Amino acid sequence: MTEFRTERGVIKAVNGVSYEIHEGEIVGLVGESGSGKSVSQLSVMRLVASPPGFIVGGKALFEGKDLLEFEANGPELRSVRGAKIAMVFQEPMTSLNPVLTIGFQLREMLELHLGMRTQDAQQRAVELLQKVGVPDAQNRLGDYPHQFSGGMRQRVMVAMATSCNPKILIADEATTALDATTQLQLLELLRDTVVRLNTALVIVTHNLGVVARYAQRVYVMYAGRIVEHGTVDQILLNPQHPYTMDLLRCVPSRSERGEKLIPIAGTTPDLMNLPQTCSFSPRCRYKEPDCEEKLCPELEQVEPGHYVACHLSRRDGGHAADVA
Amino acid sequence: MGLRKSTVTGQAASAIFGEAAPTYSEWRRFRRVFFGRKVVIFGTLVILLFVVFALFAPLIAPYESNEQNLRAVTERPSWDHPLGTDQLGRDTLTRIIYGSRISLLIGVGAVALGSIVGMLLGLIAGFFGGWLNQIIMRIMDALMAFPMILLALLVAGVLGSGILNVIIALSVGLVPGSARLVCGQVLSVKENDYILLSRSTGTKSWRIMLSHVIPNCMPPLIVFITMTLGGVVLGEAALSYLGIGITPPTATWGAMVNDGQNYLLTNPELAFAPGIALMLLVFAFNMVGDGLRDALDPRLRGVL
Amino acid sequence: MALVVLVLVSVVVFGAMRLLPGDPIRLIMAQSEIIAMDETALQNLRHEFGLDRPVIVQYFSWVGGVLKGDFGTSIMSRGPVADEMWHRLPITLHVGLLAFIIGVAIGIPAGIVCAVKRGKWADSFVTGMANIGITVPVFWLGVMMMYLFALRLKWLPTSGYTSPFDDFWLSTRQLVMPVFCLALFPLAGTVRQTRSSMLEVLGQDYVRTAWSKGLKQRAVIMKHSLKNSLIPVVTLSGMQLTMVVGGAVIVEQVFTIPGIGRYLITSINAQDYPAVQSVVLLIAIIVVVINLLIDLSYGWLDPRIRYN
Repeated sequence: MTEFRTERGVIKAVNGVSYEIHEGEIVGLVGESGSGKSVSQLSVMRLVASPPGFIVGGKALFEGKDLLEFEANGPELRSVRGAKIAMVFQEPMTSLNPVLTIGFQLREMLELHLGMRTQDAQQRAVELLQKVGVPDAQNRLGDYPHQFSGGMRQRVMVAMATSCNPKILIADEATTALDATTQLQLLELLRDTVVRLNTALVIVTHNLGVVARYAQRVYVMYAGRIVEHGTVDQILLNPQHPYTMDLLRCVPSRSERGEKLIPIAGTTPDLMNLPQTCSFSPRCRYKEPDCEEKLCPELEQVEPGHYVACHLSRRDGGHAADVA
Repeated sequence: MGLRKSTVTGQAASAIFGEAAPTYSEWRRFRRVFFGRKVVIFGTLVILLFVVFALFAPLIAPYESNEQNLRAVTERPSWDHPLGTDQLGRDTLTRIIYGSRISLLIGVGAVALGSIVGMLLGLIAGFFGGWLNQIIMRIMDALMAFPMILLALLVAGVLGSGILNVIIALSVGLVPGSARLVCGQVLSVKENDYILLSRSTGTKSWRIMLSHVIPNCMPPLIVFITMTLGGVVLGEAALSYLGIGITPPTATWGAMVNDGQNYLLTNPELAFAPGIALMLLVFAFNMVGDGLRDALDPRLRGVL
Repeated sequence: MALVVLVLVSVVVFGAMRLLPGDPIRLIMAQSEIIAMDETALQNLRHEFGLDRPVIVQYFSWVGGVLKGDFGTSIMSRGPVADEMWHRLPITLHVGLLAFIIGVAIGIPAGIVCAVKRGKWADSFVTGMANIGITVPVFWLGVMMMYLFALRLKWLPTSGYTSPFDDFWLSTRQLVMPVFCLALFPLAGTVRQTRSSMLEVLGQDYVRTAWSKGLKQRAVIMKHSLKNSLIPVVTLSGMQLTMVVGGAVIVEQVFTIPGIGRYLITSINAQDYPAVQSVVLLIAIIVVVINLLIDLSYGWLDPRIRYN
């Protein structure tokens, strides 16, 4: 649970998010802007800018230990970051240090976590660059980030993140800032890499298409909570939460040509004044009168491995009939 | 009551801020942020104090500004003379009160002159662009490279002493800064789409200039003014200390320090007191400047 | 570019002198002497010094002289101005550079510490001190220090200057107060700027990336943040070096140090125009050189500029 304390009030960015990920799995975390998906991942890595952000509750269990309990920037946390859990960020333009060479930035992690000597690290850095598809890797080591294109920079980020064979790789909207072709290339690269290294991958995105193609399991977030999760087939073919269903209706590929795309009515809720009741209900098309009276719904199992947080999920076996 | 207030201040605000006049809640926010820090309140009070001193000096000061009393030369502080007297028997406290006139007058005058001239230059350079812009900006660059004190020294040295000359001398150092600022604003506004819109509806260029550009310049210019006021006051004092600028017997804090330097062992307060007054005023200006900056646009401040 | 500035400055300086009210013969002789001479003698003098030639010609001949090292003849001393300056410049450089280096060498680390320990006691204290540092009038501080350390406590001499090559210990003791006064403003300014610059850098994405790689705090600050935050600091330092030049004028006056600054004041008061002209030009040259160095250093700090 993470909140941001600002002058005007407290923004509850992450308000009760629970998920798990297994070795080698690819999990998708879907939600719109402001749903808290990025913040939840940053919280796990303890990278939230504090002030104004504070982690106020919850646990992040990794290899038996709670990451949130570690000393901030202490040796234990540092040995996990980069080496066991690594992140690829959204903005390639600003995520690499402009005054340091690519080679240096790559070598750092190798020397730090794997204890390599500079020569060896140099060699390995070249190999990493080659594996992610950067041409002329040997000579590019001495170049600076601004000499690379956006897509190339993201590749370098991927190289950096995977350099120490982490157990989990978190791709936080890693492709959002790229154009469509490059996006595809990068996603393919990610998938190949994690399959090759047997790394677990968390894909954080607002793009259902990405999730549909690559993820094995999916978590759907809204207003700082998880509202539905299950395998990718379950979510896509049998969505139970009204938000998920609406999201699917927005995706062009799912509609026949000529069918209208239906945007979701309303706007995202104000995270400073979250109601105690279901936060999606103002926009929900299946809303019933008492949805705005009962407390926020909890996640309940609908079928094996498939959970939904909705008051109406128990009734008539779901709303499958409406999706088609 | 709230509604009426907003209409009136809204109009005044339009004059300063241009098309997007702040709403009532924005004024409230401004007041809250501005007066939020105690130092800022303190600074405002100090400035007010000195302004009162300057305006009402004859009423407040116990003696005449240059009244000499040769029978009470270099006295230590006493009930008659709370800060003692100087080598000509003039009461120090009185001279400090009168000194505020000079500091404030020259400070405000120089900053105003420098900003206005700079603004004009910036407007011309930005609006006409091309080689005129280049020339003006190059000259500004050259000026900016110089320390303000030196510029002031030179101009004062050339022009001679006197209040007006000192004001001019000190303002020279400020011109490049404000010119740059305004020119930058003009250039960025020129690019904006709503200028094109105005143009397409047939409004004259200079009108566009006045109604759009000037209001946009105001916040950074206000910040600039507050940042430089302190420096200008210090500059004036330095000039007086060096003996260039305001001639005796006018009471200025800088000259008082210079005089007092000769009597350090016997009457340290002669040199001490005017310095404290100076520091208070400059500190007040700096703090109020910070407060204004925060209240107008926290982004201008950078990171706190 | 720098050359243009220099030329502009020389023109302005030259022009300013010529714009002074009164007979240009005052540029060569003191007022008292002029009154004593009769018209024919004055006319001869004018011709001898080329004052009856067109102004432009005079300008170029002056510039020509300067380039050869001849800065004119001082009215006060009747000797070459160049000599006077030659003796005084090293002194000013000594005091000024020392003050500047101290200001930067202490200011930058202090600013970094403040940024890292933001909000804590150390930060508030140092920032508060820095805020006071920019309000203190240099000359007043000098006077006060003189009072306290020289007159009252008698730890340090009140004034004067000795070359460190002659008597190192005395030289140092004499310099403690002036250098401190001179260094205070750059020190305070540098601390403030470094702190604010560093804080801004620390909030950047690439610093977050550095953290995510599991680096130690020291590495994050020293290797990743420092270079990035130095650019505005360097700009400010350049401005402050020029301010040190200005401040030196005052400090030299307070502590009676025979440097260029003091010479300038004396010349202005004595209306020794050739001297004033020359000192101003000299200072202009110094300032331009400083700015040039600053510009060059940008390339080293920021590779983006280098490659463009």
